[in-house]
Amino acid sequence: MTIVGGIIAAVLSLWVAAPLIWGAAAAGVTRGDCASCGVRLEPDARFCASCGATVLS
Amino acid sequence: MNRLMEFAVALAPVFAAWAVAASIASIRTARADLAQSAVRGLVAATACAVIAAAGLTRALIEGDLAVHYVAQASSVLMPVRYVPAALLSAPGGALLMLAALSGIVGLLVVRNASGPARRWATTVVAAAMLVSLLIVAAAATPFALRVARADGAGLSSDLQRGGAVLHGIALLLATVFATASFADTLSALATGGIDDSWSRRTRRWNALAWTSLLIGVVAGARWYAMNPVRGAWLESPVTALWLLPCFAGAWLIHLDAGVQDAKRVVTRLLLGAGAFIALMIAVAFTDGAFLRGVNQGEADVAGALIGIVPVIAIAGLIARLRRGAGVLRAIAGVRAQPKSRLGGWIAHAGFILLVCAAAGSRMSREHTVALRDAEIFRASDPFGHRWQFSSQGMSTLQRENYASLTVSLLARRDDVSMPMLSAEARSYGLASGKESGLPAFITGTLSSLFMETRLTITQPDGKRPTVRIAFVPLAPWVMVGAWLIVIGTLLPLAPARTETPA
Repeated sequence: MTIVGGIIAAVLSLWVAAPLIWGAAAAGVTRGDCASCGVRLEPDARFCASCGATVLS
Repeated sequence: MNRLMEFAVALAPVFAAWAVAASIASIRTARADLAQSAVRGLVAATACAVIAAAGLTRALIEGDLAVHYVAQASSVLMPVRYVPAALLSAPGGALLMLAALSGIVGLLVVRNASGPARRWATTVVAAAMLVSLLIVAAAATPFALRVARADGAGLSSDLQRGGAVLHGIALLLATVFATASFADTLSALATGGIDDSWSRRTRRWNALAWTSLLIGVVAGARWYAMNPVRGAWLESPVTALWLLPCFAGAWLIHLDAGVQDAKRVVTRLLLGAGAFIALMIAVAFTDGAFLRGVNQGEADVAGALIGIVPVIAIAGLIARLRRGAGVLRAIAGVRAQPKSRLGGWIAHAGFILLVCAAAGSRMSREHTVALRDAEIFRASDPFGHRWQFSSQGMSTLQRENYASLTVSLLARRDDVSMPMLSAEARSYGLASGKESGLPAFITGTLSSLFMETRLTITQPDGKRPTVRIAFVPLAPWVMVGAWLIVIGTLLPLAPARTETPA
């Protein structure tokens, strides 16, 4: 039962961490969208025009 | 299987802590990957809490005495219908259920939020879950393994009543819905989203929370009235604490409907947050449970640590409001909320019935008498009817989980025969043959449209048992009034039956 619990915990942990490991693809965000509200960003934008979030990259 | 449940109990706060940390980090950095990981952490924490809560329910139903919580709050002979009361009578079960249901309802709030508000909603829901889950995992583990005993300590006798079960479940649901409302409000406040959409969403959560709370409070009042061992209903400080959010909620429900101006919206916001905080304080005063039996022994003070939640909630609310009027920039967009004239009539009719019933209870008449076999007692009720009670003596009965001593009186009102009035003194037993605590006194009732006649055993010993006969005017109106208020409150939320004010 401990082994089953360990496997379930490992699978759940991997699923939770997937967006961090595989990045934007796993998070479902396309390059060029605001990471905060999803609105499309201008190519050279440093702030989102919709929500004001800082554009990191 | 129990080890797996213990594992789920240990894992749930880890995921909830991750959800809090990742969502806070995503708010500060605006990173979408962290935000999604936080939501997944919340889903994982909820899944673990649901699995553990389901496992504990199964253990209680099956009477698995190897599980610590079952041995503590249940017994082999306890009927299955009292499993919810056992589940909600100590922090190990009550806070686990609260976390599991808060997670499920909180995920709905998170799903309906968008952009930065989603991150805030994730933070608030996960933080509320985290406190409950940490208490359960660190101080009240329900699955801590023990050497299996022949029987558990048994559920307190006064909790083995339908009213207690309804009271506990309704209070649990009220707390869950109030948590959802608060999470929605705080996330909207943090992102300047106090707008029309927020107004409609929180109205639903508030209506569900308040109607649940009202049912819980009314069921609790009835449960106290039928259980002399509980004492007077309003004498308990915890009862008064449950009443506070009930009054705040009644005001909030009135403000939620109709024309909305800025002052009204701010009052709604503060009342909603206040009701949530008051509910969590009441849970802390019940030591992290929703029910406490008189036979339950020493309180599990670890559960009172849930009082951290209202402290965090107040701090979060003040921190947001200190940002100034900017947090309310969308407040002008809040439109009038639909009212239902029919719903209003029904709810206010229910309220009048409740007020009448409360006034009627002040005019009740009580008589305490000792009656031998065939002895007759005569009395008049507050309406002037003459009653005659002929003692039919005592009888004993052995049920599956209790021995019952019953006193029956043949009642006549104005020389017209009425149904038999019977009251019981129950001694709940364990499989070992021992009694599980103080006896429970079950009140017998005779109800008519305008009055309830109650019979309670106060002293079962000897050949002349002492009984209390009470005439309570308008008592049957309490539950009718409460259900009318519930129907009237929920009616405007049904889209097909709404009408907008002119």
